[in-house]
Amino acid sequence: MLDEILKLYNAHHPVIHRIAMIVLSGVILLFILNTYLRIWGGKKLAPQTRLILYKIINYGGFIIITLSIMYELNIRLTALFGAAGIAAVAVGFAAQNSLSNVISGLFLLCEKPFKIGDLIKTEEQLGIIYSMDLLSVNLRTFDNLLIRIPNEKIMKATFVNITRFPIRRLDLKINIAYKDDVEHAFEVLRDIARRNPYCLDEPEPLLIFQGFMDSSQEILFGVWFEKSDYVVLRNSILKEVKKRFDEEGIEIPFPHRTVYAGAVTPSFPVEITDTPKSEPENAEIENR
Amino acid sequence: MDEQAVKTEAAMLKVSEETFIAEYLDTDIYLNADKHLGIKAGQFEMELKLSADESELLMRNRYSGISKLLKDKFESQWHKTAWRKDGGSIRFSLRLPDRPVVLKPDMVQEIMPGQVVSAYCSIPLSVQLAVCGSRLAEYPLTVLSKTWFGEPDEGVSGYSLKGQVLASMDKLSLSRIQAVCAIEIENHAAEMLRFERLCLRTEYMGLFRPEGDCIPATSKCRLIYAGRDRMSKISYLNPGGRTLSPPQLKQIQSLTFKSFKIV
Repeated sequence: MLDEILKLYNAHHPVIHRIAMIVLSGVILLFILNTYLRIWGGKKLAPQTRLILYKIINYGGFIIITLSIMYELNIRLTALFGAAGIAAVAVGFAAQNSLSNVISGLFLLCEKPFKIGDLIKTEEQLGIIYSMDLLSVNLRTFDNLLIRIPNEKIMKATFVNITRFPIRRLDLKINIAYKDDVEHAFEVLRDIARRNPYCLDEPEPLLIFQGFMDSSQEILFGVWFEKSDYVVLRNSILKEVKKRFDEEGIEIPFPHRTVYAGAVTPSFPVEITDTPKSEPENAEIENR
Repeated sequence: MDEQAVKTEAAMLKVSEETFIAEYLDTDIYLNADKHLGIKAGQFEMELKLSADESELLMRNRYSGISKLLKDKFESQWHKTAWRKDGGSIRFSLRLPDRPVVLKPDMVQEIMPGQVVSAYCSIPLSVQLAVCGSRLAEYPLTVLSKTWFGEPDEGVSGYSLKGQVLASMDKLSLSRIQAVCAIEIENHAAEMLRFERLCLRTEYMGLFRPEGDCIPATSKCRLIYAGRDRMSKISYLNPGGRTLSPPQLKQIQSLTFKSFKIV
């Protein structure tokens, strides 16, 4: 057995040496490129660009190494490429979706609608971009689940990048009773925003009198904040609105309806009595 | 911990703002289990003490005259850090705010084309605490509200300073926990400069103590307005005196930033 191996080595040792050199130099070159990408790209490149470059370098490198080895082994690459062309058509039909995902992924990388770490909201999901791969984008939800969305789907879908800009506005619809003065409510809301350390004093808070609703007057109260302060701002401002409205005597009404029979007919006589005592089960049947 | 705090109250050396500024800044302070410090400067109050075996430094900070929401944000309960028994020390030093400051004058300011205007403002300072030679934290001595300078999609976050831009330094009401900032604005544009906000990049400004003056001064700020759609050229000049803190970022070449909110 050993003799046979030695014979084989003696007969082909120049080829074996060349293959060994190709593998060794290829692996070393890939290692150097990866190290350079990690060090230089870590400072200068966005994570997703680094990821895609890493994949291009490694996949491309291994394909070149494999083809070089095949060439050294005297495997006819023209025939292989011819066969690969036919295979590619067959594979292309079979892998339409995958190819579509790869191309969509490239478009997403070029367009850069989001980056790793952004919070996005699709039609169905809300989560932080965890990774952007060749075929899919992975989201991490707030309850720590990983959601895989194919690139093609995200390319076609409408989504909101919530954390694209450094500041955001929190819009609150606040309803006050018809008896209350809207201008007074505006003043109180401005003061709430002014006193809240998480509200930016500029851009100024937005106050719009939205209109007359069924049971209330509606005000749109929008406060600007730094995107990292969302939770603490939302909690503090809602608590503060309730507290200050209570202090100022401004009512936040619950939905109610007044039954009115018109001016021509007298109103329904309504008498409020104590809670009726429970009646025997068959009383209703008897009344019928 | 509350019991410890009560004991601390009994043995605490209370340091007033004047004493703190005069004797406790930029100097190594040595503590021992019997020497507890209670510092007050501006709205800021801090208590520091060593654990019984002098292996840990315990501290907490408070702010006076602020709302509960602000207290939740800025105040801390007792927390601790490792302490070197032999030769351990703390050091306080004054610092400029960690974000740019946005000046909001009482009224719109106008500068004619070709005109050069000098103005002065005061910037509230922070204090940096270093423990055993390592920077531990920075605390504002005056609580400032946050603001945004620029467009919502592109701008800079900063602290808001209202009604403080004055033509003469004498009119400024200054305390020793604020720094004077001299600003020179040159209008190189063909049109009048009318602005209601001015943004100063404190990260490029140093803090100095001019000789014979007890009020610190920042780098002198020279702003060149070149037009509505163009960035302003900015340069910061050393006013002289002892350096209290160098700029956080080095000015390698002339800086260009949007500095004015034009009316």
